[in-house]
Amino acid sequence: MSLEAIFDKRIIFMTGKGGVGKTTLSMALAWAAQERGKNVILMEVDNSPNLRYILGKDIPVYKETRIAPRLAVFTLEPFKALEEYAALQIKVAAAARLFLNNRLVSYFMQAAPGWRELVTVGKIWHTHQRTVGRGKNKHPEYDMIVVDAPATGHGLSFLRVPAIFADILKFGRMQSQTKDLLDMLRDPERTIVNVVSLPEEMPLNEAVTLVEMAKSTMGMQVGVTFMNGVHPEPFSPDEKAACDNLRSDSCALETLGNIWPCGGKALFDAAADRQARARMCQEYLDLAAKRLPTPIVELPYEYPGRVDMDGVKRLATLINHALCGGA
Amino acid sequence: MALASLLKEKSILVVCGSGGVGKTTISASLGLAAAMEGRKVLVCTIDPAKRLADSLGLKELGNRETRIPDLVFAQAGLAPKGELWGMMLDSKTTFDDLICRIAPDESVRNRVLCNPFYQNITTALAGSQEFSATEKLFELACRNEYDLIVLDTPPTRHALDFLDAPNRLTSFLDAKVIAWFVGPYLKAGKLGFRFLNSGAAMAFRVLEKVTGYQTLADIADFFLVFEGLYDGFAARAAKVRQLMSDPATAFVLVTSPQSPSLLEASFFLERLISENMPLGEVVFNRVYTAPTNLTSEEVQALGRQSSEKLPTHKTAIDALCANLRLAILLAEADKRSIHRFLEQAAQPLESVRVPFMRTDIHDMAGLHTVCRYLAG
Repeated sequence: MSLEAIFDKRIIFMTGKGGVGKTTLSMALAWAAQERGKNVILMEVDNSPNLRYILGKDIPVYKETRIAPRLAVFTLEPFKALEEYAALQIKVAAAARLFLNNRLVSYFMQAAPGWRELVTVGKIWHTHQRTVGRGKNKHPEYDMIVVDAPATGHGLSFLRVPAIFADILKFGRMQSQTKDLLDMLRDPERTIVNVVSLPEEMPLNEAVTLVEMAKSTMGMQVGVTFMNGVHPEPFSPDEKAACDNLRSDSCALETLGNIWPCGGKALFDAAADRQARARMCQEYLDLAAKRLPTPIVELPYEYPGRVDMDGVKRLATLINHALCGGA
Repeated sequence: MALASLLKEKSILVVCGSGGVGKTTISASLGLAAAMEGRKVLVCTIDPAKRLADSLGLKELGNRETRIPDLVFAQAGLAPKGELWGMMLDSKTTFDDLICRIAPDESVRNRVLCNPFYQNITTALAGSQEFSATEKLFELACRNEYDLIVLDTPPTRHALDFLDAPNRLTSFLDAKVIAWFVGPYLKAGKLGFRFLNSGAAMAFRVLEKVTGYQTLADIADFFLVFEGLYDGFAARAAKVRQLMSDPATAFVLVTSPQSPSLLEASFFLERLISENMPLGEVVFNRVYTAPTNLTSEEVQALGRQSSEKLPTHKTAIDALCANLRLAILLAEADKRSIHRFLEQAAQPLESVRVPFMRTDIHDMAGLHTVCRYLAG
């Protein structure tokens, strides 16, 4: 799939192993999309400190918070989503609350598996269905929903839940609603899964597994790969040639030895460290090119592994630049 | 307690931390370190670190314990005095094993194992991995075959989920809830829920409407069978909890020295302390280190001096100095954030630092390098 094509999708899931920078890249993609004139909402499945780091402030849970004219962020919360869902089903909000506040129901809900994931996907579905305007001007409220998937070991398993429920629910209203969720997830025109990885073994393996799971287990369309934290080659070709030249000039090395402690060993050690890291990154990039969806958008490592809004904007520029054929 | 003594004296090390900090590598290295010193060690992992497993000669790392062959050690020039075993946790098998263990007879066992609702809660759904990790740990600890078990916990967004899993599952299967759920189902029988008047029946009618009857029947049947198993289940969960706070257990918290992971680590730390869990050690993994004691300014000055003496090599010297200064800045930044973390902790912490290596750790020799840093 071309990178351009992902901007035509309605719902973009961003997945990958924990710690690879999913939230940062979800935000960067959302920012890149709003720069292109799309009305975007970033939906975060787990309430994470990362998004708040990026924004530099706390944001409320389960409330659409506008952070730019065409960009809103939203943190999902299953209990709130359940309340909203129940109110839609029972029609009378008071009755819904009564039901959910029933001591035993809430007790059961604390522990019961599956419904969290189900109402989470349900809320995403509901958001994508919402429209504004009337008649001819009626259009979706959000052109694009970027979903920052959870960082658990199997970050896509929450998407498997609708299929599980579709399987165990034999009939009833929820059964047909679950089918709507499945249709949304499996519609390649509307929905794709992008994967985020680092140029390291485990994140890459996990990315491969996640892509495989999205494709075969869930029948979802796979988009592109974002390779985050790439350590670039530390020296330009000219600098590299100059360094090789210096290394072979024994006279110059002796002079350096008189100026630097330990004969200037640290200079060459530090260079070797970073070159080795860059080489390793390249190996994993080559591997990724064989095993992960292409194109692969490379994003450079940024210390300290934490990015603020300016960092997000830089990454968004890189994504948009890659789009113009710069990748 | 220093990590070296933890490795010598503890019988369980629970390695935790947020995703992507290198828990699996650290777990394997801890296991290796203890095996080198003569203990019989089992490393339990969830993460399929395929390359590492392959290079350790563990081609079929499954739900069973496998011993690392001597040949693999010999190839890395190592001769451990003890034994190193590895296994990969599989949620579903662990759950099934547990049911087999606590079910009174074959018919109860089959009724649980074949229930669609049971099949679903044991696989895809939240908390099952964490639960089965603790369950497996308990089972292994009971068997008493290893001197030390190193548990590499599942990667959760909130590392705390791991501690909550057994409780969450137990309260899910609580007898009162079961009675509430199963009661109307039994009473309803052929009459249907419509004729019930209790609050539960009202709730049931809602659930029935949205979910369809068959689902409820599956759930109710599951609870019905499980009612008899609950005591065994709860007793085990309580023992697991006990095992976690046992003096022979220690938690090893792994974190990178960079902000997002440190933040998670501090949450986890607070939690461990408030629950009186025995925190043994904090491992700062992938710490930037500089290959020199010089400061960035000193490097700059020496660089200028070098360029003056060797004007033809100015390009190379500038590039090398810029690179070294970057290494120094990164190392200083990591040092500062580690220092701040330790200072802000509610209690004094034992800690070790493992440097950011040039390459990934994916073989015995690499693990052994990490061991040296862990041992301090």
